[in-house]
Amino acid sequence: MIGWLIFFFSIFLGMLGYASYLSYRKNRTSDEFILGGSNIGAILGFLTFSAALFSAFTFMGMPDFFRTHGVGAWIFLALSDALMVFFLIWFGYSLRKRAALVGYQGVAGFMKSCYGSRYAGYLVFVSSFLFLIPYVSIQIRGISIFLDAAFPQMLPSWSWAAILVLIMLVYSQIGGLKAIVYSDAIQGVIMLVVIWIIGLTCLKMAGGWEQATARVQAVNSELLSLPGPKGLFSMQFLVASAIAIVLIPVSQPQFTTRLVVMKNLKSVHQMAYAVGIFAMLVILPTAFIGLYGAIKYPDASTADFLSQALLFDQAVPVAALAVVGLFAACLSTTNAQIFALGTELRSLLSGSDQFNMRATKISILIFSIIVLVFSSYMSDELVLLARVSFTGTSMIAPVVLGAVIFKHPPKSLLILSSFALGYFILSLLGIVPDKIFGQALDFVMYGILALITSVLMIRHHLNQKTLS
Amino acid sequence: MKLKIWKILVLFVSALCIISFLFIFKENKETPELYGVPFIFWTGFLVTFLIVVSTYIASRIFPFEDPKKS
Repeated sequence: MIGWLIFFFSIFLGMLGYASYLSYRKNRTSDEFILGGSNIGAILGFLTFSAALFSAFTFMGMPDFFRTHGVGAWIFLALSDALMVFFLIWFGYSLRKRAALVGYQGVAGFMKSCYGSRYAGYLVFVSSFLFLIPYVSIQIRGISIFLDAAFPQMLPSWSWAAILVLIMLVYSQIGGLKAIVYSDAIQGVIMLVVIWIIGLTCLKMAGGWEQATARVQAVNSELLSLPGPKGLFSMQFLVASAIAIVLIPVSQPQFTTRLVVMKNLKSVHQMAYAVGIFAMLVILPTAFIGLYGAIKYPDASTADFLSQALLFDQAVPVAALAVVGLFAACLSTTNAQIFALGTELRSLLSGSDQFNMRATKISILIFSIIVLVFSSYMSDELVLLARVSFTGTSMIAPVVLGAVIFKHPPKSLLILSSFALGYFILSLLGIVPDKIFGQALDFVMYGILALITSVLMIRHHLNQKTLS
Repeated sequence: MKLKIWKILVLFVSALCIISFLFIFKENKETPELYGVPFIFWTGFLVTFLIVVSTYIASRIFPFEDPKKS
């Protein structure tokens, strides 16, 4: 096993090194460093978007979600992702249209320009910081749990996370966004190959699809229908999750920026359907692994199930490749998000190019340290924590949509999003209830936000018409 | 013509979502199965597939020009 691990890790790290080398330019501007020259084609764009989207939470969280909550997990993620890529067709166009008019350095700076208010920029930055830090920490936590369970006593738990963050820092500081895009492409391919090998092996060990579902039926028939054995996949949960996931490109800056830095609209559109296909291809084998887990390890802990299904039940080279694949998946999401936080901070700065570049690099280092510390305190509920992060960032969606739709967006959207974000944070802290009239808070909040946002936007549109 | 197809696609995907969440994805429904695949899984897969195909068509007929080009 160790020999195979060294072999695959050497290839992987060699490719990362080559990606950094290709991306490095001695006298580059901060624009080249942060926005990769805004010339990313469809294939690289699709791989970087997919690698940033499908992370350790997909690789590890989804098999566990299928095992624990059943087949409704497909609707929770795959269907929501499909809706998101359809939405990208319009959103990518509208975003690029506005970005071409007012310029783009990052979502926070973009909002500041569109609303003519520094507060708009700060709101986006605070929301990103508050909800991306836990999300990145989830990835790191996920890989640490897995490696710790797989190789007990080999290294202290925290050191796995530290190694990952160190690799991420080195190559992102050398190559900037371009290096991250190249490495995402490598990681996307590795992840797809590995998850299919493991998925098919698990399906075979479960006796093929029909026998697997029959055995799941015998173990726990509630896994084969909604809302699942623990009642998680209620209609409210699925609808609220779909809205939160559709809004990811609106409210998570690492995705918004990727839409702007692509070569042209055609590339964005090709990327959109390619991500949809990739989503189906990546999530399907996680169902095979999850159903296999439901049959063989129904009562095991998350860490035990994952280390058994992904490592010890696999042939040695496959297990080694799984470790590298997981590491790659985690790395790609982590680097995308930490780099995005640096980009957001930089878009709010107004100093010289050299100063901005230095400030961005230092901020990426500081964000990495915060994430590393935070990951030690996370719980093991990877998917549910990821969903909280999606929901939290989506509270600023009215602000971003307003900026994309209107030339002079209504400032009332800033108040609305600030209130929604504040209330959601208070509910997480347990200061206000997380249910309203017995309904899930996020579901109710989406309903209210959609209604008020529509009213504000229609009123603004009519006012603008009257003025002109 | 492209604008018309785009509007139809948006309408189709919106209607598909509403119908799916309201009438197809019902709780405790396991049948009819399709080749041993539980009802929720195969219908969820089918709806996902249809939306991805709609995305592909939308990418081909999207009626507006690239803003950066214009």
